[in-house]
Amino acid sequence: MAATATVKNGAAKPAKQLSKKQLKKLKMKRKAIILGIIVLVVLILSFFAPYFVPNDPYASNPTMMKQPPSAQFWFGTDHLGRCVFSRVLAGARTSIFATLVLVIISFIIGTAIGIICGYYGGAVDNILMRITDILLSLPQMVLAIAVAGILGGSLTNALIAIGVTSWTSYARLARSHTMRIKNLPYINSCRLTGSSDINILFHHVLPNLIGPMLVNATLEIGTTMLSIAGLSFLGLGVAPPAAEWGSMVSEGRPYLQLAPWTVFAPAVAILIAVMLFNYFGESVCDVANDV
Amino acid sequence: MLKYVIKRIINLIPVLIVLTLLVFLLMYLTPGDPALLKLASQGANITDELLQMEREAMGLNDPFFVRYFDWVFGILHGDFGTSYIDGNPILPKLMTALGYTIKLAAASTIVSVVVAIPIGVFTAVKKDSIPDNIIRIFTFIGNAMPNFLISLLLMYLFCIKVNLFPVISKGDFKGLILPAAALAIPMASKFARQTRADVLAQLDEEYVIGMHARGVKERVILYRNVLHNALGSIVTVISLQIRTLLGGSVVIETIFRWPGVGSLIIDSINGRDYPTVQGVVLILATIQVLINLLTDISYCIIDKRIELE
Amino acid sequence: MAENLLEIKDLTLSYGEFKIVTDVNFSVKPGEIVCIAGESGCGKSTLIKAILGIKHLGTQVVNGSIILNGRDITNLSVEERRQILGTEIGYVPQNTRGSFNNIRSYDIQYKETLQCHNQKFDRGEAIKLFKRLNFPDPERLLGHQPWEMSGGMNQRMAIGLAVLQEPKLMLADEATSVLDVTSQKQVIEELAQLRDELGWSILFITHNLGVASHIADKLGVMYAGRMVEYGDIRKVLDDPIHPYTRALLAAIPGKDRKLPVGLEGRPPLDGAEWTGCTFEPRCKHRTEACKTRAYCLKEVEPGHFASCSEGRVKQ
Repeated sequence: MAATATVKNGAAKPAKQLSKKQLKKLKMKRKAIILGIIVLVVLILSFFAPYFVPNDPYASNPTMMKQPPSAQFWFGTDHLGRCVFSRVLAGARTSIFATLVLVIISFIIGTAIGIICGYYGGAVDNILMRITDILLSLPQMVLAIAVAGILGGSLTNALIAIGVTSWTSYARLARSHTMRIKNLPYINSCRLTGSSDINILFHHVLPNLIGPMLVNATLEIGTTMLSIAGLSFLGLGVAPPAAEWGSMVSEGRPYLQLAPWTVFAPAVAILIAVMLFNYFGESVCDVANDV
Repeated sequence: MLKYVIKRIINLIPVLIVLTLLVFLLMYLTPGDPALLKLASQGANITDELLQMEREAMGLNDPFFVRYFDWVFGILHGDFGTSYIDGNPILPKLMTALGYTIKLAAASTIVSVVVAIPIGVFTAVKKDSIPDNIIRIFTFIGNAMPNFLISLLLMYLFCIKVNLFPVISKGDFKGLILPAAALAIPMASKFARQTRADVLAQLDEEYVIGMHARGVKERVILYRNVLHNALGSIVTVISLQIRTLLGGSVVIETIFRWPGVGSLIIDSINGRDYPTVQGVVLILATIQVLINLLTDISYCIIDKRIELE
Repeated sequence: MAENLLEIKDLTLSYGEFKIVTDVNFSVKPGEIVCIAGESGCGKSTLIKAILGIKHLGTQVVNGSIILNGRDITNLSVEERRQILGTEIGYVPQNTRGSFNNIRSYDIQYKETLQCHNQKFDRGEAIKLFKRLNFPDPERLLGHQPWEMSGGMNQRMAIGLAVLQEPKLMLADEATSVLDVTSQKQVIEELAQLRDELGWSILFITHNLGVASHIADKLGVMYAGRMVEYGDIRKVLDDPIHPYTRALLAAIPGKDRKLPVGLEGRPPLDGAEWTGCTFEPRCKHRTEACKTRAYCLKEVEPGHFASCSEGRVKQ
């Protein structure tokens, strides 16, 4: 009856107000999708970057050392006469994919540990959670520097060094979600009907926590990228002459005064990539929290 | 309160045990023979006999746990071992460097807190205004900046373009400004963002209306109540940021040649002086653990309910 | 002193562009307790918010005026308003956690509030007051933090602070609706006691007619943004005029074990925008004319106003 009254009086005001909220929601979703597409494009481009660089990123040229940016060398050349623009493009693959590999591996390991701890509880849970507590309470980067320093500088070692602590946040999160999910009434009815633990874990627990876990993972990409770049910069990650943003900055550092572009081009590339991933992570998080 | 603090301190014991084990393990797993390394870095003429003697002297032939307990026992007595490079005890060198790092870390933390919290409150109160949007863009960028970019940018601008500061810091006050700024910028960005979010959440609480309704001044509501209640999560971020700061200071100290533990650990890694690396990690980790303790205690001061949990 | 402590004249209120309350008129005399009753969404809380006039609440006065003690307070500046809030207008919110910061002790918050009005906080006086109001453990009460207390106690502490601030008008927005019956009774009795002792006027918003009949002198019934009936409480409750008031009273379970008669449908959300009668879609006595007849609160008999007297059976 009230509905007919609304129509009759021709006042569409409340409908307008509701749609304002929905509009905001839609906008948020659209923003996340657009950012997702940009991220995807960047990923594809960076993967194929080594195939369409304007110059050979590894070819040194003694006659063209420390040239400022020009039409041929968009970002100038470095101390060995290599094209900085080509090296930044070539480095994208290493920098971005190393980050993704690390995030994915820590995600898988952390989630698996978290689910097992949360689902089974008991002594294993106790010990593992104590370990994560302790690892979480240590200065991550210092530990990574020491580990990488002792293992020796290489990309794999840098990933191991950061990976030592990076799985812990996923484990914590997965554990708390698992503990919440396993106490839901329908999980109990699954058990009563004779579903196995494996079945419950894969068909009920995992699908329910994968969403928030992925949101957390997208938020972690930026920081992980900064950590890897930091290690490379310290000479504990990717070793020169391989093109990687952090190590390029490190290589260019002595020439800060004469050829600042060799330092700032890769450094700004990191900044932009981190900003993109952070922005994407935040908008995904907004959408996820809103639903 | 006292009970809570004591409980927290007791909780530290397993943390410290695992911490020392971890740091020791780091050393234990070092590739290569430590005795060989030590002799090589001292430039000795290495013979099998000498190597054997050195191994015995360093206790390398003892089982793992014996070595571990010897090491922990030494540390408890202030003996962090001797450097492979010059054969001097590590502790004095470590302490001098630590002093510099603490100076740097404290300066940057204090500056960021003092600058960022009022900015955070301001942007929360003026939500979605033009200044808020501008500040948010800056803090977003600051948050994503790699610390070496900030350092090199500052160095480029203020040491090379405008000759205001020395490129190589001598550890004095003038040399402190740039590295401290480089550490403070990302940290302040994070604090400002966190403060804004927390203050916004608090402003939605009903007591704010209740206070307005009895004519409490806006300033009192904001700074004595809203900020007080938001402080819990701000303190969390501060303690988390100090964790990042300790790592970041390694990068920044090497760039500005600030004679702190960051420079020490990188020099030691390059010189394969692993006992010093071990010492630095142990000290920094212990500091972090103590900061975590302080954080827990300050939670309890801000919100008495924590005590009951 | 003016005859009326609070006078609401032709008040129309909105949130943004959306009108909530239209053309409300009533007044509160010194020492009087006025209850405004109605379903949720009828605009009664909006009324309170408009009188408080805190900008964070987002209510806007589109038309009409609010006159407190002869002074028009409709368009005060933020600072002018701050000065009268607390000292001239007191407020007890619906949410029992809505008065105080949960994690700071009462004494700090009492002191803070009084200092903002250049009043001094006297601990002894506060304790004396608590004793007079029969608060449990008055000596230690001030050192507690609100989260340690029950909702009812928190509400009473808010009233206690209001007494120290000595306002003439108290606004209570569903102040008892989330409390259990015992605390409800305590809070109501305290408010009534303070009215008797301090000569407070109280504007009490409730959806509970039982509470209203207990303390009020006057009762206003609101429906979809309009005051449909207003008058002395006994007259309104014993001899309701407006069809809505009658339906509302019929929906209360009585002592006589008769089943209450429910009211079909829901109030329109945008009632304040309508030109015709807002109750018309649910009304038993509706006619075609109701859809267009302009709203007007008429004095049907001395001291008893209603906007419609269709189908009324004179008792």
